[in-house]
Amino acid sequence: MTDVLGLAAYLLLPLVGMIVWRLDFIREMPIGARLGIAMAAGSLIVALLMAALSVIGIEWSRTVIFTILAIVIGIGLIGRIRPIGRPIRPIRPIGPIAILFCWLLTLYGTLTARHSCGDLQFTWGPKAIRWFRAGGLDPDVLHTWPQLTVDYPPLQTLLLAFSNITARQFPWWAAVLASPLFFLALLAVIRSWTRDDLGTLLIAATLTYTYTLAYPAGCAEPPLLLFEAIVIAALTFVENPRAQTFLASLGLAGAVFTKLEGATFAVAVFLTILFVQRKPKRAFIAIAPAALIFAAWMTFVLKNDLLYMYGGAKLPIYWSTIPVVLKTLAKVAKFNLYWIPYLVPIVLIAIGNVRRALVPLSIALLTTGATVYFYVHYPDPVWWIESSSPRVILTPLLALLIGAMAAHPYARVPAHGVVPEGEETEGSGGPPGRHSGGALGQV
Amino acid sequence: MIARRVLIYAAAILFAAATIQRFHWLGGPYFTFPDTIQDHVWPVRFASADAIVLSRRAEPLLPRGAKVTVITPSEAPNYDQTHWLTGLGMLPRQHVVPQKFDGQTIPDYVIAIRGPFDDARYRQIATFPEGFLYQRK
Repeated sequence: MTDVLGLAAYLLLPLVGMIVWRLDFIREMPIGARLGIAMAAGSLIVALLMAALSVIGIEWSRTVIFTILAIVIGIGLIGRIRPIGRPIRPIRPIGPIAILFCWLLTLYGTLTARHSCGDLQFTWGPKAIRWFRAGGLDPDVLHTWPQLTVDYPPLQTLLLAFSNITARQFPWWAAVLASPLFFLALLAVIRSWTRDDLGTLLIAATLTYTYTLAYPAGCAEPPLLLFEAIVIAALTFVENPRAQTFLASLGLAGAVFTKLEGATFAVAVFLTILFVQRKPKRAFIAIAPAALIFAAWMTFVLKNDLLYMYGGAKLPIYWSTIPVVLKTLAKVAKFNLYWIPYLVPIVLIAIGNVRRALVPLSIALLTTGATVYFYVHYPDPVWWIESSSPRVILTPLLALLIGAMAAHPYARVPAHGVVPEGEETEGSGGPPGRHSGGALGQV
Repeated sequence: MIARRVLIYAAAILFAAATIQRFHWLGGPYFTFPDTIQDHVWPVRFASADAIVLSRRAEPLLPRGAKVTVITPSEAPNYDQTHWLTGLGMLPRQHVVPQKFDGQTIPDYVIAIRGPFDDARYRQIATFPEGFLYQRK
């Protein structure tokens, strides 16, 4: 019963996030995108709510949290949430069936404890349980047990604490089963925006396999990857500029509040919008909520003398470790399969239109650089790389996979200042100006 | 277009096969709901999975607020940190502490994974299939 209730807490997240359906450009999207975005928005809203309650000194309780969430859900449900967009109707059902099969493999791996992340048991879970018992995001808990990566961004811990509040006991199985739920949301968003079943299948199959070596279930990567997918795919495939900016803001805010790497991801996206898309206004608007959240969290960390992981930026750089870092990262990136998870999207980008894939390519390169930068701060980083990087390098891999979809000549890629006007359909064989996306559901 | 389709289908089949092969390598049983979330993360059972089970078994015997730690005695004196951290999550009503036995505030209870804990300051109060529970004399 504990795990059923714990899982119900995660299923409640899209309901909370449906408040964003009030935006017309979200309502125009297919149901998969709307649900995926609602999952991400709901996660961020719940985490921010719980953090805010602690900041203003209100103890967490079912009554307080569910009353506020009921109001949020009510606002979301009243009035303007009826969809405007039409559902995607695949011509060939093999695409969705194959995607579903991959997802079911992930679900099976999670249900049989083959994907469980050790850090759930050692860090995320204990921290969430102790916060739950303290009734809030309590700095005393972090001072008592400084081993709990005390300054790490709290979204994942807060979601775990939320499922604990819902179930009263800590639902360990619900904590790991959240992973396939976030994965499903990611696939739904990508498929809805691209209408490319084949490209979505590649992402589904690649992540299904890499998850078996990365052990993400119960860790922060599943929500992080959803936030990142929303950002990268929105900047690559969504045509409405307001929607792009909003979705990038949402995803970046979530990423920064979820993991340390979320901050470097936000910088990578900021630089990409600035220099690749050449939209400085959008870059600043997109990163603003993330910067605010980051500033608020760092204020909490510094005020309570909890600086630990973020303090790593002050550590010296060991330039001599660069060859070891690169060699170890290359070994991990092999994924026991001769780098095929990376090679396939790289080949697809190479044989496609590279210019269309510039945004995800830029993010992949910058986040890879940030990963190397993280690891060169330790004199002997091998163990650290081997234990953490299988999850960390999923971000550049995801960006590459999205890049492979964008490079497809029939991809629905709007001109973001990357592809000059009138050339968007170049290579598609179709007349300029005519949207070629309709063919994608048929491949 | 055909090249793209062939490449993606081939990759998808390869990744699905590699996933299934990995699941097989991690070992069975394949269709039984596992006891802990750590049961099949490696072909050989991790001590951390036993730490979960032992914590569950010991919990009813531990007073609320008692200082407890979790160790694998064979690792002494460099105990694996992750075991007491597992206890920190599994024993929410107790005060779980790191594995230090040389200071003034040593744990009241020790959960020992797999092997006995030989320390004159502690007496064994329970035996489980996965290990032992000790109380300070």
